[in-house]
Amino acid sequence: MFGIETGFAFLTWQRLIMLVVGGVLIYLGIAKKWEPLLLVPIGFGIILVNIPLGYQVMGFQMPDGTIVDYLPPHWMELIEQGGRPIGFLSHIFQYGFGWDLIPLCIFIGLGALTDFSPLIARPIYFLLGAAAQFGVYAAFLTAIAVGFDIPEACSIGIIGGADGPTTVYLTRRLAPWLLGATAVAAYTYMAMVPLIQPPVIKAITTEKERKIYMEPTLREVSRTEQIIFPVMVTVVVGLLVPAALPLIGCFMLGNLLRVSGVTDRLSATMAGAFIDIVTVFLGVCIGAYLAATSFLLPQPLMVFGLGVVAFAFATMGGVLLAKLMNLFLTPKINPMIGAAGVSAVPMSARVVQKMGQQANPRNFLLMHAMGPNAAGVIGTAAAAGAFISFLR
Amino acid sequence: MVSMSVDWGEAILLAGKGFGVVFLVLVILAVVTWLVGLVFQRSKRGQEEARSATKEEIKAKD
Repeated sequence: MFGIETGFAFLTWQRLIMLVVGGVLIYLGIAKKWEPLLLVPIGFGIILVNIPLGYQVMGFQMPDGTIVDYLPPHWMELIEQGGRPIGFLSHIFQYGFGWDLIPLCIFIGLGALTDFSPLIARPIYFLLGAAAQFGVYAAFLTAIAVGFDIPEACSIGIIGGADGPTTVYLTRRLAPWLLGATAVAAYTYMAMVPLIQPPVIKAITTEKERKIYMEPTLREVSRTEQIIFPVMVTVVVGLLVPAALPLIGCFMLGNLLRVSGVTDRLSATMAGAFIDIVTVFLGVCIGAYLAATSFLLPQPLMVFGLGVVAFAFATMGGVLLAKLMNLFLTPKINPMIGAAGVSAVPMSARVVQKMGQQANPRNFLLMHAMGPNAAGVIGTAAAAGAFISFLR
Repeated sequence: MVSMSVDWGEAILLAGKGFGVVFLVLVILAVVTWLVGLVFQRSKRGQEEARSATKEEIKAKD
């Protein structure tokens, strides 16, 4: 048409499906407000990469001159074979994910946004964050049962930690061909926490348990304690699980900037413009990874299904340990706060707060739920580090 | 997705060890955080007691 090659001739039904999927994610982000900061760029990335002949977006030029206009599942091999990024997102993808820059930068920003005071005030909440990692291992075993190999199962299991950057970090190392599927599953299910968690919580708690009242305030945490905490966590986790150090180190660096009291400018930047910029690149790159040729296959679709298993078991793990702890604790804790042990911060804490108020209007569980929530992020990073260490 | 013949022993061992490591790490963090908190709460209480004792002394002198 007018002497230019249009994309219509290459618009396959698979690409059309993916264009619709991109549109649906944008719709969910804008109309339903499900993790809009992520789903909107992911949806747009999917649209960008599924327009035919879009090698200016996500293209690689091979040494023999051929051009690959999408990112194949085994994209690391493409680079190893001498593929040169020529699309604007190919560059961002290669350096952002190939060098782990994007997930680690996100962790710095998350650290600057996280308040660890509830966890410092009641360290017992660490246990709930640990118990919620049960979802990681339940999904890991389920993935193996349905035929995935061990590195792939680790990458699928970590979705149960409900932590997007950790999922990206681990999958890039152990099963990079599943990166698009695991990342989209993790972020989509994080957005769907208000739908997934309440039925699971209701199924394993009684109404009496959901009504348990907890004092809304926790003890005051001094600034010195807040400063010691990120340094202490970095040293302890770094010594016990060195493979988790990049994740925990970045997370705690961001938090130290937040609590130090003398780096407000840095902290404000990390928690604001910095994380926003990286999030845009993260979202668009994940979307751009989801070309029809690499996503509409049984394997990535199965990953998506296993993500629900991971989230459900993670919720159960946290709640069941809280119930067990109630056998020994006085006063008792509301077992629903265990569900916040999945690290979808602060979404799962908000779910617990909402359910707590529905069961007992006097209850204000948000501060309590934020404790296991923050512990869950540390727990998921430790789980990812353990997987990397075992498989190295 | 490679084989249907799974080494379940290895898989279960990996899951068990992984979950154990996570629990161990978080339990250690809980204990250390609790200890640090205990030290700070005690020193804060001590400071408050010393302050109130000083106030009482000043009142008694007046």
